[in-house]
Amino acid sequence: MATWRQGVVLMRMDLTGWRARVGTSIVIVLGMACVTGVLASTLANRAGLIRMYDATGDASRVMIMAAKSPSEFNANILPSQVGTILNAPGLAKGSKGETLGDAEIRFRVLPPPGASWRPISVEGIGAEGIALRQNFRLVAGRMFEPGLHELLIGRSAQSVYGLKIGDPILMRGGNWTVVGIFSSGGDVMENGLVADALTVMSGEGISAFGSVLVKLERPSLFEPLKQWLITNPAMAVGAERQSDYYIRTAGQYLGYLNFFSFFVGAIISIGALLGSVNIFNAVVSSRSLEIATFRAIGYRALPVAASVVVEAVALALAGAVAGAGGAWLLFDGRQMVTGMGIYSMSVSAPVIALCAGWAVTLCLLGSAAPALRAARLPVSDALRSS
Amino acid sequence: MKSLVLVWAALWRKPSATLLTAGATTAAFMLFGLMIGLYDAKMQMLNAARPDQIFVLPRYYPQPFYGMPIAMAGEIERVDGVAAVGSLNNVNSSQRGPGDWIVLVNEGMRDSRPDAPVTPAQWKLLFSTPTSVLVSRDLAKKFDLKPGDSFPVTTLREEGSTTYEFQVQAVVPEDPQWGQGMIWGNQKYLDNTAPLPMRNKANIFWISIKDAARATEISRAIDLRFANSPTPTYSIPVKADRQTQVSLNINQIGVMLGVAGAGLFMVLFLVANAVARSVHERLPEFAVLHTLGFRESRLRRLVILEAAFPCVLGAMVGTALAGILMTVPARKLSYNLSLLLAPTLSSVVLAWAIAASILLALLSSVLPLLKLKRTHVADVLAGR
Repeated sequence: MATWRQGVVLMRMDLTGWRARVGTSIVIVLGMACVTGVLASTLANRAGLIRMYDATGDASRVMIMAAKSPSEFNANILPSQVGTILNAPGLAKGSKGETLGDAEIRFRVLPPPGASWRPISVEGIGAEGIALRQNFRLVAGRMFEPGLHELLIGRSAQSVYGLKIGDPILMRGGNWTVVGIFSSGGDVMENGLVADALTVMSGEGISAFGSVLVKLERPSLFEPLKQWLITNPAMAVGAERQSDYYIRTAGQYLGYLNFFSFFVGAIISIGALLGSVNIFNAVVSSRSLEIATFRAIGYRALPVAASVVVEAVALALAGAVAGAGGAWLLFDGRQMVTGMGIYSMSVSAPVIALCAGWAVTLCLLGSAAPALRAARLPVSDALRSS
Repeated sequence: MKSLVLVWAALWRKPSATLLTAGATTAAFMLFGLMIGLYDAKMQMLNAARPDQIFVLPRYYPQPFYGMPIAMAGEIERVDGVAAVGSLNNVNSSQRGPGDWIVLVNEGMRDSRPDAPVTPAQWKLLFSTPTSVLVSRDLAKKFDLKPGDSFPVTTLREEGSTTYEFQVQAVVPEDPQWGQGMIWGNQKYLDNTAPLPMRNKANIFWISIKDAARATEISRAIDLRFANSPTPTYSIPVKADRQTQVSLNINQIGVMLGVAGAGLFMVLFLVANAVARSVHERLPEFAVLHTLGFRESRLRRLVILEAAFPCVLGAMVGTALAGILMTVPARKLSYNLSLLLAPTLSSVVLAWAIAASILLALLSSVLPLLKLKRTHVADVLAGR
């Protein structure tokens, strides 16, 4: 019989005969489920944060900030510079021919006592601020009136701070009132308050904008815009895609989340790996008579070893499905409140695929030595001892 | 003693299986030690928070932000019920190292933090020269610092970089209210050398009050006093602040406990499987022992002890490994790893690990014991 046929026969026997090894199979599946569950739930945190940043800006949205300190919190773009920036080439136009660009400011205030002590961000936007954010929609109340001390609160922020329409937020110059609740597709803006830029700047005594947000006619015009801005000696500004900006500012935290996931994943995997070697050794021992019989009737070593590995991979995949499925049930969509914002954990398809790959790799490593042992089992010794 | 000899023999019947099981439990308990260590550190900080102390923070942070004028301390002291006011500022390093932890305090802290683990002589040392710092024991170990050592910290701000040279005056016990270790410096250093806008500023006022029951009322009185000033304040009782932080971080705490629990859950099945296999293979041996007069309770004890060995060994070695990792100086670790490590492993964590290992042993013995109970001696001896 051809080697591949021998392999198919042995694999079929293995997979259909799992009932004989139900206990060990369950232990492997549960072990892999724990590993993938831990990995998926910790990676889901990072994936959720990145999803929030991805939702914040498509590739054609660009933030223009001071070159020296590129942060939207640093008010360094003078009002006199805004007109020049909005005249830059390649910027998209709105339905009335207006340039899709908006000078904005962002700073933090503390919510009223009792809500939380975590500072909440206030984003001051201008006339085109809403047009630039196509996911923006008012879900309750009304829009703020420029010139009045009025604010909107994002739906994510509202769920954490518990603020409602009519609540006051104390800022310099008195109380500002929350007049509406908005959603912007779960992006960064939804984590805070929004008000009219010129009104908050006047109230807070801020004389410059933090950034100018613009939309490009098409994403490929980013580099020409950037060159146009940085080669203008009077400007001293730089440009960054909005999604890149948030990934950059959160880089250290994202790095920590990544490290945390793989560090705890690695430790728990060491445990699972040692356990799986133990179990596959026991499986090979319990099947030594069966393996020796096959070898005695002419089956080659390779299909015998492959059958052990295939069983391991099947169990790993079952474990990965159980673990990632459990993580999805428990954590997908669960709200996280961290220093980087308010976002929902995401047990996404890439996370699940990574977990499945991780589990399969572990089982391949765990079953390699027992598979080799099975392939090299001396037939006569095995038949005699059994 | 006889039981131990039998258990020992059973464990070394298949040394590789025993060692692999112990290795798996060690990995799980190392993770348990790291996660519970972090959880314990957070909880200790919450429990240590004093009800008779208040934080006074700036109400908002206009950019660029330099802090609240330190002269506000005198105003706060005049609020009815306030006992003492201390101020805190900080130096942020542009490189990773002790500069991430330096908090500069003024002499008011001596009275506003009577609970701080600093002796009068050490306070005196701190305020004797501007460059003095007091380092808590864990951070001293982490950064390999001892009295007399100097270390530079370079800050990078828009106003330009400044290098401060600090000198360790004393190593003090951990401040339970501080959480992850502390380095306290002298505010005078910043006031004398920092760029002008940063001088005589405080990020936080840490105040003590005469009556803990009036904490909320006094917090409101302070905020009212500064409501129309250029620097409105936000005051919060220390206890309430810590509780808010813990409740905001409840998700992270849940993740920590979940990861620790998942590791143990995994080894529960690995140990149970190993013990079940061992019992299954040794049924004739148990039958002989029973025939020789070993009572069922003694046989049960043998099985439980066999399960307990890899669990307790794994708990001790795994927790010790986590503890050893925590003693490695931070500069020798990656920044992310240093964030993951609690300053020390308290005895509480070790106690939890031992308790969890015993529970693990008991749970993993349940199925093998049931199997043993259902076995008839005569059948086994007859080979049926």
